[in-house]
Amino acid sequence: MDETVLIRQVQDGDLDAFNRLVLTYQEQAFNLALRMLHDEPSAQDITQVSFISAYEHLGTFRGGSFRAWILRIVTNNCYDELRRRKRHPVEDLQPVNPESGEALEDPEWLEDEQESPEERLARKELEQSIQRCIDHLPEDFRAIVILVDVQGMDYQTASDVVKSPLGTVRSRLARARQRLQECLQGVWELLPEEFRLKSESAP
Amino acid sequence: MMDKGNINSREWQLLSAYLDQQLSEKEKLKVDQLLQTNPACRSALERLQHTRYLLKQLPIHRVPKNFTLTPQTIKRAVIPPFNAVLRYSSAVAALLLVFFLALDMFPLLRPPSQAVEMKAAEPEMMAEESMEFDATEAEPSAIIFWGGAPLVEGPYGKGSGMGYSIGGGEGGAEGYIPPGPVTVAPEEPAEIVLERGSTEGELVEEAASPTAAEEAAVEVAPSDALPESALVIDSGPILGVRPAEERGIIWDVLEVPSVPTVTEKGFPYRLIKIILAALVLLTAIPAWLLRGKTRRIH
Repeated sequence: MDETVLIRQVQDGDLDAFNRLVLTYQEQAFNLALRMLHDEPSAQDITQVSFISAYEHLGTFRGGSFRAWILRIVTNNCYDELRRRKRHPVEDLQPVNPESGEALEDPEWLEDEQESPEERLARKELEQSIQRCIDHLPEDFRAIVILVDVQGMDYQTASDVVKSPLGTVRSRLARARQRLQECLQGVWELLPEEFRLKSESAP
Repeated sequence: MMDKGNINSREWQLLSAYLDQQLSEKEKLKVDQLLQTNPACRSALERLQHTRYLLKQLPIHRVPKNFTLTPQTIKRAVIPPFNAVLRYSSAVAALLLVFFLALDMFPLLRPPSQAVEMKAAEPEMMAEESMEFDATEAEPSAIIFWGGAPLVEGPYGKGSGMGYSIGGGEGGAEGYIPPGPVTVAPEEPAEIVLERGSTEGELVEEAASPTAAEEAAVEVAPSDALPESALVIDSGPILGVRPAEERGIIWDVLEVPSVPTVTEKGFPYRLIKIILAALVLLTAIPAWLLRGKTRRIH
C-alpha cells in the first residue's frame, strides 16, 4: 500500500497501519542503532523508543521520505544515548554465554546458519575490526558513514536523515573514510586474507 | 590542509565523491585529469575503494524481535517517568523561586498595588531598622550635656566636639540639641576639645575610648519634651572630662516610641518563597539520585 495512505491512516488513529510501517523500516532502524551504539540491548531500546516517539509525533510529519524521518529520530536518539554514556560511563553489556560465563561477540540469533565455521570466523573478525574503527569516529561522521557506506543510501537521503546540507555530507563522508582507512591500515594484518586485496573497480 | 599521501583535503573529498558518482560534470573532468597526471591520486582512490568495499561487507543483522506497537505500549510510554516529573517540577519551582527573589531585589517589578504597599511601608521599615540598632545596646543611651540643659536656639555644633554655646564661646562639648530627633555620629577615637571660654581655642587632645564614641551616637528627642526626671547628675570620673562643677548633667533619654509590627499585607510572598525553596529541595534531591536510571522498553 502507498506509504502516504498508510501515514494518513495512522494520523486517523490506525495503529495497524503504523505497524506496517514499523515492519518495513525496523531492520534499517535497528541496524543503524546497532552500528552507532555497538550494543545490542541499547540498540533495541533506541529502536523501540524511536518508533513510539514517531507514532506520538506523526502529526508533525510534513511529508517527504518517511524512511528519512524515522531514521532521523533513531539517529537523534543514538546521539542522546552516546552523550548519556559519556556523562555516565558504564561497562559494556556484551552478550554472555550462559555455560562458560564468557562474553559472546555475537549473540546466537545473529548467526547465519548457512555459513561454514571458517566463513563465520572470517566475517566476525572483519566485522569486529571495522566496528572498532567506526566506534572511534566522531558521532556525526559515524552516522554519515553508516548511512552511506553500510546501508547504501545516496547523499541526498543521508542529508535528509542528518538534516545537514549536501556539501557537509560529502565532506564528512570523505573525512570519515579517510580516518577509517588509516584505522584499518593499522589492523591490516588482522583482517581476513580474502578481504586484504579485494577492491571494487573504479566508476 | 591535511596531507593524505601527497594529496590535499580538497582532492581527497573529490575522490570520495567521485567514487560515489556524486560529482558534477566539471568536477568529474577535473578528477579524471588528476588521476591521469598524479599517481598519488590513483593510489588514494584505490585505498578509498578498498575501504568502502570493506564497509559494505558489514552484515545487516536481523532484528531480534518485532518493534510493532500495541495499545498497552503506547499507553505506558505516554505516562511520563517518575524522575522526569521530579526533574521538571524541580526546574519549575526553581524558576518561580528566582522570580520571587527578583521581585525582592527589584520592587518596581511588583504589581502596582504591591509597589504602593512597599512605598507605604518604608517609614515603618526604617523605624524597624532603627529599633534593631538601639536594641543592641543593653540600656538606653545617655548623653552628657556640659553646662546644663541644652538650649533650643542657634546652630548645631560644628563637629569634632566643638559644640555651639550661647555667647559665642566655642566650648568643648558644649553641644546643642536641635528641636528634632538627631543622630550624632561617633567621631574619631582621638577627640579634640576646646577649653571652655577660650576664644582662640587651646586644644586639648583626649584619648576617647571607642565605647565613649559609640555612646555619643544616640538619638535624642526635642529638648522641650525632656522630662525633669530624665535628668541625672553625673558623678563618675571620666578620663579627660571636666571637673565636677563644670560638668553637665547626664540626660537619660530615650524612650523609643513603640514601632508597629511590619506585616506583609496582601500576597504572602515570604510564605511562597519558603514553600518554593522546600519544593526545590524535595524534588531536586530525588531527581539527582534517580538521574542514572534509564528507561527500558521491551
